[in-house]
Amino acid sequence: MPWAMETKAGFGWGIVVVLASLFVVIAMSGVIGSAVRSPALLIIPILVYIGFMAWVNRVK
Amino acid sequence: MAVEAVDIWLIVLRWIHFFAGITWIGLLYYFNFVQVPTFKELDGPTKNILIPRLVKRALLWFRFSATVTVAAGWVYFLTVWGKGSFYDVTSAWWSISILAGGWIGTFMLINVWGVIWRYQKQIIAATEALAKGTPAPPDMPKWGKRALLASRMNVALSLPLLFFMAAATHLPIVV
Repeated sequence: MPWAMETKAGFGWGIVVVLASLFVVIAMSGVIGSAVRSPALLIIPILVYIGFMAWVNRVK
Repeated sequence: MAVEAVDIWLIVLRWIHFFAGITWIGLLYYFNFVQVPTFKELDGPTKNILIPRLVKRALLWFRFSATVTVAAGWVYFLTVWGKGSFYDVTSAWWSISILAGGWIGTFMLINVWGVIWRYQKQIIAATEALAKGTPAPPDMPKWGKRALLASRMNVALSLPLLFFMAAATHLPIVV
């Protein structure tokens, strides 16, 4: 199977989403069970994902 | 050790999560590793027969199994949280690992409904209209490409997803 543009882009975005998810979860870990310390931590992965949605909808 | 009602509820949720998850990810790999390369070898009329039948049915199971997987996963997590404690042996690591997997799985579900199904349903409708004589819209190749990008992203995300889900219980790191 060729290393197609779809595969490269898919893995590229996949890595960013995984890193953002890990960041938020590890940042939250100290307070899991009580409350999330900063809403920014939750917003980061959501922004990453919105970036993907905005980009993919422009692909021709 | 007495079995509490909540433990029965948790094992039922876990079974539903596994069953739906295997259906979802199995179909995801089928689309990416089997269907997409096969469709590249087929001619237009053959694809027009398969899209409203094979692809439509596969996508029905795909998007609803994805929904059930994520819903059962979050209900499971919230039930454990509501119980007042995470599993004794895993505690912090369990919650980090399962939440990392949960986040990734939730993104994948948004991809399923927000990109893959959004464009695939347009492709199916256009193919069905084509059979009735309506010409294919010029945007159709674009829809397929966008759906494939999200699908490829989900394949990439499924690898760490499976790792974190399994590692929550089977890689007992003390954090």
